[in-house]
Amino acid sequence: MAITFRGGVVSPIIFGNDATTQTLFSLENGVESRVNVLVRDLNFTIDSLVALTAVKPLVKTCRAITISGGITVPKGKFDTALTSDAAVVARTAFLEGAPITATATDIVFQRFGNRVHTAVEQSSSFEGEGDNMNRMLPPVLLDKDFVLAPGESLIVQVIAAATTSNAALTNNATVTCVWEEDAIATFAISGTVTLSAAPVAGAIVTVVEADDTDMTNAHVREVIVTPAGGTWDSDIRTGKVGAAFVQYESGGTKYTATRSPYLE
Amino acid sequence: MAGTFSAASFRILGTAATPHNLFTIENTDAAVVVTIRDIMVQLDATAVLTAVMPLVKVSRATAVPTGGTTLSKAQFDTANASDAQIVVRGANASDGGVASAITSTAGTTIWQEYQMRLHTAVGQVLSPPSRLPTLLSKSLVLRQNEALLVQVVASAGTSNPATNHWSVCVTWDEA
Repeated sequence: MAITFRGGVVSPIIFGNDATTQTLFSLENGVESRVNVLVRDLNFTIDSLVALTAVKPLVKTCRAITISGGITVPKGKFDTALTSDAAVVARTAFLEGAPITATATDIVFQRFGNRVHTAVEQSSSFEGEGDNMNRMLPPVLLDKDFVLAPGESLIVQVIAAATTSNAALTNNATVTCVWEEDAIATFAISGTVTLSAAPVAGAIVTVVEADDTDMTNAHVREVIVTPAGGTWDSDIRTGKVGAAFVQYESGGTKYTATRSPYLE
Repeated sequence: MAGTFSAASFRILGTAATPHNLFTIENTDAAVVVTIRDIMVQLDATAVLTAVMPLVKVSRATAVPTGGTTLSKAQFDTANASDAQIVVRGANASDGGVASAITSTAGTTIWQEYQMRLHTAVGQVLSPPSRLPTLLSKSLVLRQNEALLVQVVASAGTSNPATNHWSVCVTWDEA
């Protein structure tokens, strides 16, 4: 297909949370997305201000499910002619009020963070060398696609041996992520909402997408309010099915379509 | 099915033994060829060691490994599934938890590197990643019944105490 976005996000400074598990960052490709996300770079740095004589935390990149919370960070564009899919969302934890909640699944990659055994002399946030420095995914991403399909996510998570190893306020972490979005093949569906043969403006058309006509993994693709002329259009991923449901209220009378055919 | 996959060990504690098998990846499927794309080893040693630091060695195992903890395999693309006969083993059952010894004998060493040690426990502690840099351009291939072993070889058991914390990641292609 075609690359429709190339860019990335940077986190604000993320403080430790005095807990053994902390999700720092998430990148979600929402199930309603029309793109595959191809992760090109994922970078983690940390500056630890206080001495830690115990083992440093492991920082893990994982696939993940059920993500919520955090703050949404704006997406920077490498090319302003390209636009990111709105369903691709990057979050970071932000202070105590906005932790990310997520369930990690398979671990993709991990590395140790940083620590100062005693707080003396210079401290460096650089680990590794050359193109591998501070990376949170293997150095193969330029020729091997790490893919987040619609409905998939990854997270960067701190796993500490003890709560004191992930100190609040003095562990200062950042995450940077760069990705491309690759358009997914779709087919078009459309229609016109009418009432007594007259086009209806202001009708609500809910487009549902699913794996099959049994509505396996059904989700709302989008909700459309019809303009003058009553027309609506949407797109469904190739290989899936769509259905459209219509509601309309006028003068206190509520209407709905009498049938909702599967659109394959 | 073809694809790219990765796996990571749990945090592995030193065993005060030498050698100490950290990690293996094996292929027992005649129909699949595994090409290793990256191996990364890190160490955080929290105790002073004034003797020479352990060497990390990568070799072909002399036989298919047994034991250890079978690690989950992550997919670079969920449209591709890893072959069930590609098995990755780690030497701890959880992060810093119970050891699960991998039984494997090293063959000819392919690559080795010192990791790190604290001569005195002062200042910042870095864990520079050790990895085979040539893998990005040259294929290291595992055919049927071949395995790769990542092993700590210390000059004395006391050089690899339980205050050594190891991490190993591997990335590979299946075709």
